[in-house]
Amino acid sequence: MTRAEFQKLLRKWCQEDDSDFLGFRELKNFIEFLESVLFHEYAPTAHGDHGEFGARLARWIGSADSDANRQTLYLMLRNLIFIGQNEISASYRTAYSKIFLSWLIEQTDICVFDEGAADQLRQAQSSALFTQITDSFGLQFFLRANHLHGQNDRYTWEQDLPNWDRENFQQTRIVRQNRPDIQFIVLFEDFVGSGTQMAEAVCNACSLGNGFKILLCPLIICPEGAQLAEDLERRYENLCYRPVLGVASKFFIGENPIPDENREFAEIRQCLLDIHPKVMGGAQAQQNFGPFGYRDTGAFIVKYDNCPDNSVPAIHRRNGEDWHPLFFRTSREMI
Amino acid sequence: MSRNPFNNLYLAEEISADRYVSIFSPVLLRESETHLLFQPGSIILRGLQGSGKSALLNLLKPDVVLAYLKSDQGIPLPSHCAKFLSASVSIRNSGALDFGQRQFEQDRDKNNSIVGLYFADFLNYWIVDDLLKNLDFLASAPARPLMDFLCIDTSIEKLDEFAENVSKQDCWFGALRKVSDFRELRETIRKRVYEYDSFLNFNSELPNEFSNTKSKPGIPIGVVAEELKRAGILPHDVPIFISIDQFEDLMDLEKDIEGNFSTIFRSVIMRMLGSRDERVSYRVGARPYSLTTGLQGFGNNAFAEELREFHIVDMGALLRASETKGSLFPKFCDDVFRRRIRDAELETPKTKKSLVNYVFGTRYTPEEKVERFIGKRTNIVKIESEWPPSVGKYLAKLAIENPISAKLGEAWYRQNLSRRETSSNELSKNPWENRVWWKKERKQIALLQCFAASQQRLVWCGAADIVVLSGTNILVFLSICQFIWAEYLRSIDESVKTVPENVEPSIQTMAIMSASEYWFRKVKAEPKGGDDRHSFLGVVGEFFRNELRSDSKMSYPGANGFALSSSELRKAELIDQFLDDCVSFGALEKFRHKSKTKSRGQSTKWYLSPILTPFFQIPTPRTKEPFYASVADVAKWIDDANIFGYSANLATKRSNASDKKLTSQLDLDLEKDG
Repeated sequence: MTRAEFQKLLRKWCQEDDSDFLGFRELKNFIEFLESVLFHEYAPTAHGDHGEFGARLARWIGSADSDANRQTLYLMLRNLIFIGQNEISASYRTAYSKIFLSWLIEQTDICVFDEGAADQLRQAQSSALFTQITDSFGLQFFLRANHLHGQNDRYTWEQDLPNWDRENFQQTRIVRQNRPDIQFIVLFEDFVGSGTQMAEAVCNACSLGNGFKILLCPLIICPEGAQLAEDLERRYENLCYRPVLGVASKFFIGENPIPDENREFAEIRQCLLDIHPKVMGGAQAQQNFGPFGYRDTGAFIVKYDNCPDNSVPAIHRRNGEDWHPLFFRTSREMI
Repeated sequence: MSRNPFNNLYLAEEISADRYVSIFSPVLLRESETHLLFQPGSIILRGLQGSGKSALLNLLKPDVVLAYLKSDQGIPLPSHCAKFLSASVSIRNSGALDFGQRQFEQDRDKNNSIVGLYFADFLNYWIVDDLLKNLDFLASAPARPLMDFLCIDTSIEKLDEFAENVSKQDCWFGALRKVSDFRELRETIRKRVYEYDSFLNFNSELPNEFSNTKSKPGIPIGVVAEELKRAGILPHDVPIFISIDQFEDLMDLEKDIEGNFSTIFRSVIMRMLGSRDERVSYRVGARPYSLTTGLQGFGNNAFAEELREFHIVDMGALLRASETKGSLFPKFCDDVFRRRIRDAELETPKTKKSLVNYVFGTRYTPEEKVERFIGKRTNIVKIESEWPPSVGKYLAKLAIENPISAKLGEAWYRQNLSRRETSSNELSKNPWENRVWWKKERKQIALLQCFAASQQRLVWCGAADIVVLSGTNILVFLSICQFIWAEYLRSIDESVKTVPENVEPSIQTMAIMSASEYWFRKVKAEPKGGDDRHSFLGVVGEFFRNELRSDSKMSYPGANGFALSSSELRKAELIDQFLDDCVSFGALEKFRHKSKTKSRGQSTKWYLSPILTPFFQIPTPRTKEPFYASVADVAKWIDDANIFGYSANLATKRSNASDKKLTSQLDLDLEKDG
């Protein structure tokens, strides 16, 4: 479907929604606004033949066959959570100034009203090791956003998984870096869906023993990941879990309806089930996690640098000429 | 992606003089009323936001006049009013608003009594500085054509003589005693403005001598004008105009902590207008709400009298059609539109047809709108079960062919059913089609009801609709064009270099709806009770829509406006004032109304500003009799809109007026009515 064809269709939907029951007009204005201020940030489609957001939107809507499914896909955008560069930058600042520092103050019993509190805090911070679970967090950008100097050692837990070795970690991160005073280890992650990647890194960090206080700080976390993080916090005495933004479960869709769920979800669910064969091109497709995404997370989240696979594949999956994604996802594994 | 030629709505106010010549539309200058601006005599140029006041006042500036002289167009004014010298001050850009930043006296009452004097002094110096700056400009080589055109002599001897004479005048109270030549005069005047600027921005204290050299409103300006002519710099027949724009911005300075308005700053300007100084003529650009009834001259409390001390030129009236002349507005729109398109370097067709008509299509009749937008027509007419089957069958069949006629037929049948027997045979002759006026007055309501019955939004498209929706406000017109162009650009796959012909009506109607929403939101953002007016319009608009949709007999097709008897309104002062505010801010339009019933006496009618009608889905054209409201109706709308401030005022008046317990403001108005 071309941009012109889609706009004509959208105008028809707006015209027929005379009492704004479905809210097409308001959504149209909202999407056009976000198109101009935010959606252009999406990196995976910045180059190549993906086209601008307006063209991708037209092709995406046109990928569905029926008018009903096309309308539902468009209305689904009301639930989209797009996390842009500014939001991530703000999260970096919050992760440091609100979450990390307040945690450090609690751990060290520093009285912020003392005359030397700032020095004490600086001293305590020098005993902290900032790490990232995967490189998608962008530790270097976090350090830059918070003006943190002298953090040469930028450890990524994922690089040593699944064969992480405690001795080796202590040798490389503490002994060879000449940082015997390290007491605090912070594990950052940008986006946590189900939490499987996160759990392994956290368990390894906690196994270092009670001499190390561990802070787990994801910038954005989905309900399943949050549940797992809370379980881990209960299991490990030295672990503290504090996210920047925990996305509430009401923003996720599952295969089965739940009480008091978003009224639109019934139609969206049916639509996602209907179009899934077209989105994936058959059960044999690689990384076919089902209509609700990886581990059935059912997210509508798109981050400016990539769309997580926890989001419903209708948003990010490409299937030849049969399905054109709105926010094409670049996958680590081959598709 | 192509550029939207209407992205910058205020272009004519911001661009260079050379570009102004190609963007500014001289259509308004065809009106003799507009020529008053370029002839001696003070003028208040009144108009809503975006009505074109500032663009018109910019034409007074020497650099603009020079640009016209140098262009192949020449000055777009008749020769008898093309020669003048001017100085101009824009309240917002002059630093005048800094008077709200710092007090001259710590005590508020003391400050209030003195701030007006300093403000007048500041304004005098600012204007004189601009006048002298313009003289300097005229003396420069590039401005030679204008200097020759005005026959101005800027020889240094004359300028120095002028400076010496000016500085000796009493009006400065000694502030210019050290001035001996033109350069020193310029420097001293500029320094005074700078000192005010510095003080108001807390960078320094006010020099001590300011307190005993404060000049009176307008007097030094008159003196400078007189001395320019006496020194032979300016010929005696070249008038001097002082343009003061954005008068309403002074209200920002006049609001106190409690939200009450005094008129200190505006009254300084009213004093200038009221001084009957024939040496200079003022042009004050003002929005209607800033011209509060009873504005008095600063210090002397004298009212400046319209027609005696100044003349009001109303932008709306200039462009509105009257009994003796057609409206200039469509031509104005077309010219502005064409200039914007040319400025955006888009190719235009070689046709003499109006470009607005070419791009948007001339006019879409109600029948054409229905034809384009309504596919399913089975629910257009509402057939009552007690009607003879042949009637229902006939109207349903007609609805498929001609929905508008069927809807009119339904109303005609309902009207006649209660009066007399009507047969289906009579119906089949479509008698309503022969009743020209009856039909004409009901076409819009029939259109509305057709769209409502098929659960679609009412549509607006075509040049005629766009011009009507714009009222007489060029900013509204430009904003509609902006929305349509944006929607059009979204709807094409490739960039364009030529103007489109007959932009798809669905694009137009979608964009017009967005423009209407924008203007309705803007009502809320306006000062002095924008929230209240927004809520009130919400209630009234909803009322009109429900009335028109549910009026299946089409007995009140004019219910997109309301009328009140003047005698009743006089007794309800607060309602009168509230409605006047709505008009001053452009939310409502007000007209005299000839009531059909003699008992109502003189009457006034109000309509929503045309651009708001798409938002409320009510017809824009004003046909037939408006809804005959009572003060009680309007009071109820105000109550329903939860206008708390207004209700509180009513309550205060109520408790002062009587000990009687009244239950609502409605009671108060009823009580006033006796």
